[in-house]
Amino acid sequence: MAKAKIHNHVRRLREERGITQTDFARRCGCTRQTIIMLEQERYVPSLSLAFAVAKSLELTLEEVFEPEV
Amino acid sequence: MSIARRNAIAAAIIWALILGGLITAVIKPGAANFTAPEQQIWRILTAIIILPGFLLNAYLGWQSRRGLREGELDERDEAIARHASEATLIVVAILVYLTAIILYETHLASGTVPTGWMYLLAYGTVALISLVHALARLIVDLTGAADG
Repeated sequence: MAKAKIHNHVRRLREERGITQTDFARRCGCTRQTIIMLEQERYVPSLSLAFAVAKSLELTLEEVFEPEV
Repeated sequence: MSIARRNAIAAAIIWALILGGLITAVIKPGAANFTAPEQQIWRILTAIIILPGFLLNAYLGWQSRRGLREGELDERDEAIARHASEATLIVVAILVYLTAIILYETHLASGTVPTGWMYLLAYGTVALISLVHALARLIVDLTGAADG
């Protein structure tokens, strides 16, 4: 089965909240490098990190991530 | 620059130097002369060349565990290391196979392979694994080929 491309709105949502990448990384429990790669859609996070990202933005998983159809 | 990337660059440089040193150490006296009794000191010195690499690997391993505990490294760094390990296995297997088969083919007529080449194959493989793993970590990191 081909792997579906997962898009995310992390950069826009983070910037709307005025959070820096460093602070956001700390909230999500990951490194700033991972946030950079995530925002560039060059990294698909694990389910646990995806939940942590959504929780840090106070949104649901579907509001942050969406699979390409 | 992230800690993981800096560590991979340091490991790549150190292990490239060690591998270069090992190759030079065997080629300089000649693979056939390398194992001669009068070369014993030279062989011991050659084996010592690899020591800084092991010390570096031990230090980087300790730093990685500490980094994971303290949040300086995360799941992406672990994913990169996993992908790099898979790539290393394939690349090293191919290189060791090619080296062994070239030695076999080039010494088939004489029926003997100078043991210096076996020495280099053994120690060189250790250095090669660490070098390829460090390079693979850099490539996977920079290309974003690892997913969680």
